[in-house]
Amino acid sequence: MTEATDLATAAGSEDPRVGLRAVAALRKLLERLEAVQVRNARVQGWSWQEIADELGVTRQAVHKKHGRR
Amino acid sequence: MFERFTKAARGIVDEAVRQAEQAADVEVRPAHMLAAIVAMPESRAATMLHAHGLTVQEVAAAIAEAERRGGLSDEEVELLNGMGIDVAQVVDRVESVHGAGALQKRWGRPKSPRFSQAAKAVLHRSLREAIDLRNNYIGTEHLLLALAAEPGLAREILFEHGVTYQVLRAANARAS
Repeated sequence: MTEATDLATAAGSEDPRVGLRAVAALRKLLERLEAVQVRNARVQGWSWQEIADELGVTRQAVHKKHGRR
Repeated sequence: MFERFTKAARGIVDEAVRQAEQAADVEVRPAHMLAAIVAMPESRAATMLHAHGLTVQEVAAAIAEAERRGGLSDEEVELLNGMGIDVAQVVDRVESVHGAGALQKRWGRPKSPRFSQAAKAVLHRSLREAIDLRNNYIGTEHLLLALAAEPGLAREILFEHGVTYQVLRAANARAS
């Protein structure tokens, strides 16, 4: 990797580009983890309201994002 | 923009959509476009890739590996590693509870996959590459240049086979 070599210290890097890309990667991972957990909760019979409460968001927000699942 | 695409370039875009559908993916990503290029061996871009030893199987394997860890590219894994997050460990733990491939599964996919932001960026970039080379059409070679230029999994797969943006630009300069 041309650029990845100096990415080892992403969290502490002073280069904004490195830090921002690290945050974007983390968001990507977070989105997938959220999808896994929401799906698991739905399979176990949780309501959208219960899921929203645990995620700390509104029921509308969680339903809009994961509703068709 | 699409009216400037050559027939072969349109074929690549259509094939990328088909690749994404086949993978039950909700998005068409640049990696699907790369997979489409290697799958259509008669194009100019595919000829360049095959000259560098890139095969359909290798691209498919790289995409599957990235999908397993939630679509993260090698670079993104390294970035997260730099933050103290061991992606392999996260994937292992999620899969141990929720089953193999848990992070790649998507529910309720739409009728046809959308182009991801990154894939749209590649399409726009291909137009810029064509203008840059003073071509009045957008061909498979411009799509490939764009894939090699935009950060992400497709660029990484190309890089690992020695196919960099500079290498492709040099090849295009020789050809024209």
